[in-house]
Amino acid sequence: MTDALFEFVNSMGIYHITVGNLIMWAIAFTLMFLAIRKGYEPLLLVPIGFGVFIVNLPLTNLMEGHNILHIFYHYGLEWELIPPIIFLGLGAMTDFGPVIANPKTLLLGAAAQFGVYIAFFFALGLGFTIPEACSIGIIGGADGPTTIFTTVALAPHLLGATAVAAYSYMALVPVIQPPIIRALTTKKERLIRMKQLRPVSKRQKIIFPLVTCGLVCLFVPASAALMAMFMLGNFFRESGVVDRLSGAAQNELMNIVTIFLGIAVGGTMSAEAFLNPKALMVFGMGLVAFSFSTVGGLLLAKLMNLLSKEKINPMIGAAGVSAVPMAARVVQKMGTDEDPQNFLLMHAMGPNVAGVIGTVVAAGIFLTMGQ
Amino acid sequence: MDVWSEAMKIFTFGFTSVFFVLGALSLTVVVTRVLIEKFTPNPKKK
Repeated sequence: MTDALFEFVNSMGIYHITVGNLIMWAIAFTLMFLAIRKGYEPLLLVPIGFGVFIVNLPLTNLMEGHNILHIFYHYGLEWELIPPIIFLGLGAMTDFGPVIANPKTLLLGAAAQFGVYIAFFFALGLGFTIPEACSIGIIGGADGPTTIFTTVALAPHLLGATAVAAYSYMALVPVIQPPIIRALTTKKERLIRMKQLRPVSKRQKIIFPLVTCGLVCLFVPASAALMAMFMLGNFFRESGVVDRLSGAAQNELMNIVTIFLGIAVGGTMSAEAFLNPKALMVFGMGLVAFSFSTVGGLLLAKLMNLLSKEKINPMIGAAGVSAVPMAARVVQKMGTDEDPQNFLLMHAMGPNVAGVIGTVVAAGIFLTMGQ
Repeated sequence: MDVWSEAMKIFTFGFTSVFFVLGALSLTVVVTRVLIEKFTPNPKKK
């Protein structure tokens, strides 16, 4: 009878709770708190937080065999299905008008990949391998799906840390960027008003995704899965004849895969996998990556002002870190704080969406050379 | 040492490629605009 009782108790999860589980629950509740109370990336942090909570319930084995989280992880992430589908939805939501109206802002999106490479070198310096360093560096692109796509291919054991770092720092863009922008720009520069963007024809908007998809995929084939889906989504939107597909991509489909993505990423964060110095270092380097990406965009914008007669407000360079549209909103807010009549949002959206393309290109190169 | 030379290669090719691809895209956008404007009939000219 005693043996039977002991066996029964032993089969309960509560008997197997470890300190690691408790710490991970604390992390899970913190993520959920930040999402619910502070509104930080709730669409992702709620499912991720819940995933972290349930994967750390002892004996549930949700991330093993044919259990539900492992199925989401295996078919959604290991098969690299979810990130491209999210890009399809993002493409359907994105208006490339500002970047077509002012194409030089594409270069700001390129410069804002600076932090990707700084974090890459930092990670190598701290003893990470090249594939791990690539996965950490790409956090600087401030693009969650691209970070996940790259990490799953190069360093899947770091997935939980890189994904949560990417989404957490994206949510913290309004905290991280303003001090860096203020430190690197003068008041006079922040007051620069830019002339209104020229109108962009429908024809240009239709051609843009086709040209971009062809160009990027020809030069960096490894980025094709993300770029092709991104541009397909945008083509749906701009063609104007498949509103139902565009709507499905940006609403129903996007919402469904966001649930699977969040819970699968949360599922990778078991205490054994997450509570180690490497994961903490990933978080630290994520901050380095974000900060230097902001610096890269700002400095190129200042350089452009030195070389060009038509001045741009260098703050828009900071929006080159993808984090759409958060980074552009930060620039808009800082602009109106300096001059209430200075509206920079549409100008900042150019580098902002260019940053997404830049990050996908950087990820493609990592996938090609970082194996 | 080998790791660092490999890393330098990734950095050089990677960062250059990002600028090259986005620069090329930027030029393509300009060329496309010029071509569209050239071949689109202007309603003001009659």
